[in-house]
Amino acid sequence: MADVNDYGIKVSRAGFPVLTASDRQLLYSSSFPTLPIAFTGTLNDGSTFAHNLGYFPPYFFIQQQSSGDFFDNSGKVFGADGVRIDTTTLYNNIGVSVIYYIMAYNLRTNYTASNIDTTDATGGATPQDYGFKVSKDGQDVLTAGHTNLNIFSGLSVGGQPVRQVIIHQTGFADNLAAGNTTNISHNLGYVPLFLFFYRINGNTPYKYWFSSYTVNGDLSVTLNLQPTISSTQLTIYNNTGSAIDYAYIILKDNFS
Amino acid sequence: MGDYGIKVSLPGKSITSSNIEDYVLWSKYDIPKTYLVGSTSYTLTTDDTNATTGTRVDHNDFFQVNHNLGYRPYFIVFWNVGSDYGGGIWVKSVGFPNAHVFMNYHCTTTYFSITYDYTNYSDPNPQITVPITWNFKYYIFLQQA
Repeated sequence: MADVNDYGIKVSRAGFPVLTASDRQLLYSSSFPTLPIAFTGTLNDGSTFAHNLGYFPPYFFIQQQSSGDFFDNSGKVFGADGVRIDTTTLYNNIGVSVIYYIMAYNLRTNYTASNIDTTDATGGATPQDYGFKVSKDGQDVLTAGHTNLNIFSGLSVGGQPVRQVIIHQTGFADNLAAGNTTNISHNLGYVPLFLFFYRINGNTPYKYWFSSYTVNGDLSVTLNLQPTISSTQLTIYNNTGSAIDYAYIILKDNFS
Repeated sequence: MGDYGIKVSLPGKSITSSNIEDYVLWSKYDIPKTYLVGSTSYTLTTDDTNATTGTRVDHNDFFQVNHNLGYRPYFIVFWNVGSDYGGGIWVKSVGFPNAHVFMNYHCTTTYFSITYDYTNYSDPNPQITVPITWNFKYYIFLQQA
């Protein structure tokens, strides 16, 4: 039987030849998991949404003004004042309505991409001549706009290649003691975009956060939890004063 | 139209499964897509926060980029304080939940902006003694709520 990895789909970002594109130059590759959005919607303050996935899923949220515009300025994401999730429910106690996106992926999964290609290809001269797009259910792929496309290999208004986020590595651990630091190697050779989630050990539900910080009176910043990333590793320093459980998702997207 | 699309199942999983976790791709489900990625910075001087001897800046719409999507997309902002951390630490930002300063990230149907607001109007004293620079990286996604 042939190796299952011999089959699949690979689509490069606009402007890069698919046969020689590095992982971060890909729009999509079936060799790597993604973050399919299982649920999205509006959640009013004080309300909950039952996702019932049975595991801790990653999620995004953004606050919504009464005008309908999105904003992000309250900082109220901690503890009971925040937006957080457990294995069945998303909770909103942030003080305003939020738009949420819940992804079908178990945060408590240890995964590392089996193949890593970090050698970039040279960009081509005709980035818009070729591409790939798949519309969402019920949408005509020939006429669907950006928002109705599931996969889209075109360019943004600024000329940047659109790309889906592709997972490189995920993991989790419990009970990182207060004051302790842990390092997690990713070996990508560049600084990748990452997502970070944590909860105080023993507490539920999970809080959603990439890091927590306090802005002092002199505008200096005290970082309470420091997930930082370099071209070789993710470093987590727990300055919260309590043991924490954490989960992370390292994407193949280059941070810079 | 729901009969068409692409499904790629995980090794060992059936292509007829109804469980999204069994697939690496199922076009029934949207996937986060970055659309515009960029960076900017903002520097605050001592005078900017001194209402007595300086020219305090109470409000500054210092950055705006058009996305022209026609809907309000999801976005993420990371920031760092270069002078404090050598420019090496980037954290996901939710603005400044501070008594004196707000950094407000705002997204309409046409643009994304970052605004600085000094909020402690009753305090004439400067809040900083040395200039401070904040650096920002923003990711605007194609996702519409």
